[in-house]
Amino acid sequence: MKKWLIYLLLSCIILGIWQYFGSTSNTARLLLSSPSLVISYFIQNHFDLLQATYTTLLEAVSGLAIAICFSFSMMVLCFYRPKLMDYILPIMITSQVIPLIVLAPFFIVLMGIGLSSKIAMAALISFFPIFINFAQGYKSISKNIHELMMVYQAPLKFRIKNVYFPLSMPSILAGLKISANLAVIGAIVAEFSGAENGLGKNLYISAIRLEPELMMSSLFLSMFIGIFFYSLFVIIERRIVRWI
Amino acid sequence: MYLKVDDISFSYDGKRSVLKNVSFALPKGETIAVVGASGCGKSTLLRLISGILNTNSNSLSSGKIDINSVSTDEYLKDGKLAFMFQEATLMPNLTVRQNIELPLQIKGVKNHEKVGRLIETVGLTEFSSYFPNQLSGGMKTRVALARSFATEPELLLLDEPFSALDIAWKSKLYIELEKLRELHKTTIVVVTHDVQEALLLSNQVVIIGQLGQIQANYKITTEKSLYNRVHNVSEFLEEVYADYLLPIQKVIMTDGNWNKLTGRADNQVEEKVANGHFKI
Repeated sequence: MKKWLIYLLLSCIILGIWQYFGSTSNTARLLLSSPSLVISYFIQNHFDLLQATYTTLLEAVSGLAIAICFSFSMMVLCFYRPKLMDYILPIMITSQVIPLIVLAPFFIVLMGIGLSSKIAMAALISFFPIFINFAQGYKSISKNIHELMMVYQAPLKFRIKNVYFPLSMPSILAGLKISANLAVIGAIVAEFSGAENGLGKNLYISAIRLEPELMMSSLFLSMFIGIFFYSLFVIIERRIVRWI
Repeated sequence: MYLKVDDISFSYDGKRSVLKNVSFALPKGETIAVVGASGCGKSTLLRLISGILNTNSNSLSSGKIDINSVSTDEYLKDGKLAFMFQEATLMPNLTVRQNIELPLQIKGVKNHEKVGRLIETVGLTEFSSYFPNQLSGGMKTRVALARSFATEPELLLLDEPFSALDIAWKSKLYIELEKLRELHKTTIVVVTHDVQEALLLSNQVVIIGQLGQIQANYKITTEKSLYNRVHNVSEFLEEVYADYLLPIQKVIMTDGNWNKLTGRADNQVEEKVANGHFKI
């Protein structure tokens, strides 16, 4: 409880300072606006802003869902054909040398300015942490548990469902927490390159038109999406991984 | 013979032999105790018998293990083997009940009554919904032991099963182990540091020396059943101490040239010990 009070007090202090400079300095008002102006801007334009948030959220969620399905499928494939991991892992790691964000314009050219290019970007950028964390979680399963399954002649299907997935879950969820935010970044960055709607488009326009209220409200909404994802996975973690 | 270990040698790195020409045989429904100092290859022997380490595919090993006249690999397929590891090796995401149920679940069998009975046997009824990280070391061992009993295996391999338990639980579980053996004619291989435990539990005691060779192979020929023995542990121990324990302890502490002593330790052995034939 004390912690929350400290956080609340700290937030109030920051907002107070921001409000003070936003009201007294024209430069600060032009660059950062002020909390009261941002709130009134949000009230006036809430429909457009929430629609943009919905679009970005949809892109990030879809991209993340694709990344989860793809990485889980890859891992299951590796369980059936363990040799595959030796080939896949180096390719995965090499692929991370490319700053994936630079591929955003490429996806726009390839798929157009609709949702699909943003979803593809979000999926691509969020895939790696899930896969790597899953692989890491699998590797951290005790050797004795593998041997126990061997002695009891547990079929691979049983092992995947009852051993590999559940025991890798803490690592998978750690990966998902990172990936969820990366998916939001991927969607927003792809929107910078060209979009009909979305928070990324708003941020891009606000920078060009020097509209600090639009920028700050979009920034806060992006932050709320990040917090939503993180909280969601923390809740899932508490529900599923009760044994740690 | 139900379990036949024939001239097994094994090395992990090709340089140092962990086991050297180990041979013994065990009839169905009997218990053999493998005794020896740390690092002498006791657990490796169990892993070879269980098929976790393979004598056929590993070029650094030789010899043959037959269980019920078939190779370990074939025997494993029938699911008649259970192994209790030195560490409890419980599934951290499963409760006590679920852990004990696991081998049955793998076999596709549901038997809540039996699992409940096993939980009661190991005294964990109140803890059946606890996760392993909420249990003490001894409790974990009891869960692992109950799990190894769950499938009523034909061959049970136990790697230092009672080392984390207090004497009260040891005595109780000795009896349960003996009940399992008598009821299902289970053949048991138990690895232990504890010579007294080896004598209590087994019909045969194999002593492995530091060089991975069998130093002695005792057949325990007491007419008293183990069930009776463990009911009077102290009395029994006193009784056997002079006959078995003293010479065996001396042999374990010796790393000499003394090979394959078979049969009951006799006066001659004690005399040899007394006369300083063995380094103690």
